[in-house]
Amino acid sequence: MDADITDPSDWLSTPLSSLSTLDALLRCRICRDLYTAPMVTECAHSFCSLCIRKCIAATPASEHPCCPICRAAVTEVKLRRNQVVEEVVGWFRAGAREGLLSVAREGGKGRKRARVDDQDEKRSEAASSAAAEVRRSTRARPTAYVVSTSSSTSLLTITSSYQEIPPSPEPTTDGAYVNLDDDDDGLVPCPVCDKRMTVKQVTRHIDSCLSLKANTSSSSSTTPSSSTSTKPKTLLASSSTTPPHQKRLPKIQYSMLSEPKLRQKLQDLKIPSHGNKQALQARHSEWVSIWNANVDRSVPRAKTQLLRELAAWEESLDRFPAGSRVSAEGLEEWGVKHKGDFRELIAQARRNLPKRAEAKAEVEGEAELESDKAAE
Amino acid sequence: MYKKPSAKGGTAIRRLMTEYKQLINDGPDGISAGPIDEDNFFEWECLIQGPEDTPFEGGVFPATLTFPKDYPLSPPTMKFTCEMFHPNVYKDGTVCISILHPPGDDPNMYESASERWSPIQSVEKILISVMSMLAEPNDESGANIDACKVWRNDRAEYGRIVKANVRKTLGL
Repeated sequence: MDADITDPSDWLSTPLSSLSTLDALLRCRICRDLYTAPMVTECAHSFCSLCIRKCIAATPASEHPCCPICRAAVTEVKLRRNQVVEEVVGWFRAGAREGLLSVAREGGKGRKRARVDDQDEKRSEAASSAAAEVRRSTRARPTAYVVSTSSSTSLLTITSSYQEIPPSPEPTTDGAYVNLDDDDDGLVPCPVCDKRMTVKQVTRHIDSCLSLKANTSSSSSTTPSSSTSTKPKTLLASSSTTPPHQKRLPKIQYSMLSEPKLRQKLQDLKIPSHGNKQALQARHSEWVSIWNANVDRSVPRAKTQLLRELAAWEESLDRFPAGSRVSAEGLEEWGVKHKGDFRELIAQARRNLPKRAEAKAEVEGEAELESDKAAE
Repeated sequence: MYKKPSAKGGTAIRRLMTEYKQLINDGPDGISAGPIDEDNFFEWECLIQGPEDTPFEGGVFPATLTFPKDYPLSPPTMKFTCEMFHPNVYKDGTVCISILHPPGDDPNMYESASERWSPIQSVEKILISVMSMLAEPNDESGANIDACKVWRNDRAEYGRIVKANVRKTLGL
């Protein structure tokens, strides 16, 4: 299995199978991935910003967009960020899931842990310590597993886990987390001017930076400077401010625009502007969704990344032309590869079949022949 | 198991890979589905077991699912690749069932929007719906008029034809 693809069924074979429910709850029902920039609708359902925006954009003009879950009417401008869910998912995605899962999997093997100072064990120990951290707060109690969390060794390994298991979260008392993706260099950006420096420097720098900003612009920052000295990391997490250029793009009434005007719009946005009007319209709509969903992220990505996403979307349109069919050989191969499945299903079907004379007369060896036929 | 290049193929492929994985780990009984070729996640083959206490009991019915590139915004199409005599299956094998139709597209004007396709539906839901469709045909939406007539007027004959098809798919 591709380690990249995770899903709630990962937990089922472990003693922590009930976490499958939590895992499922933290996923967008449209993309089945852990939420990215979750947004809550008027009907109180949550989806990734990009998913629900694309869904709304795909609704034919003749209809009102509706919630994919309950089909109540939804309006794009009324979407609101679901910040708590975003923070929980951030923590879960950044390492807690991986850590818990590795604990659960080892627990499932019934393996008892003994030594923590062994170099080879360090990685899994780090993961389990992080998970133990989680366990304390969620009060989940796996039965088959024991971790010592009070020793100084485990504290040490928590620290080392940040080098070994990327990317890990740093849960803070109020549930905020710091995205360590950004500070491989050990530096953090100043929440006001984005300049990178050490945490200590930030606390000293921030006051001067704020007063400088107050002088240059009238918009006063809401940064709680009083808490900088006590909780610098929380401050960083909660105040990862949206740069001023991250404004949402308006929707366009495409039928009102001529092709050259639409092309000009795309050029103004500095996105590819080739193709006919239909292509331009599809690309613009996709870009608006990608862009606006990015604005909803607590840590927005750079435009180059968004452009890459747009290119990937475009590529996925080209790669599989409509109505592409697989060759007969491919089908046959598939039949051969899944012969076991076929045979098992057929055997099952036979067992369920009422006892008939024709069923009795069957010979075991014919199963293969049948599976080939079924594959065709 | 999966090939790396397909992973970057956008939302549709990622979602299909997740569904595939989940079906393998935690799929319902009587259903098996997966891509025919892992280089092309947009074409799946699936097998559906005939529901118990119906003429379809004992049969295993192969079908293909073809996904659009904007899946899951648009639904896939499903086509049985075996002989299928059923009021809601066209003679070419194409399945006509409300979950496979987006709300805006209602060829027969009889389906309520709540049963239609939505991006939160899935392969699993489709196959389960098709299984219950086998058990309980909807004679208001005639995809195969002959099957509709026989099902309505001569249930015994319907059962005979279906059972004959079951034996055919099993190679008996």
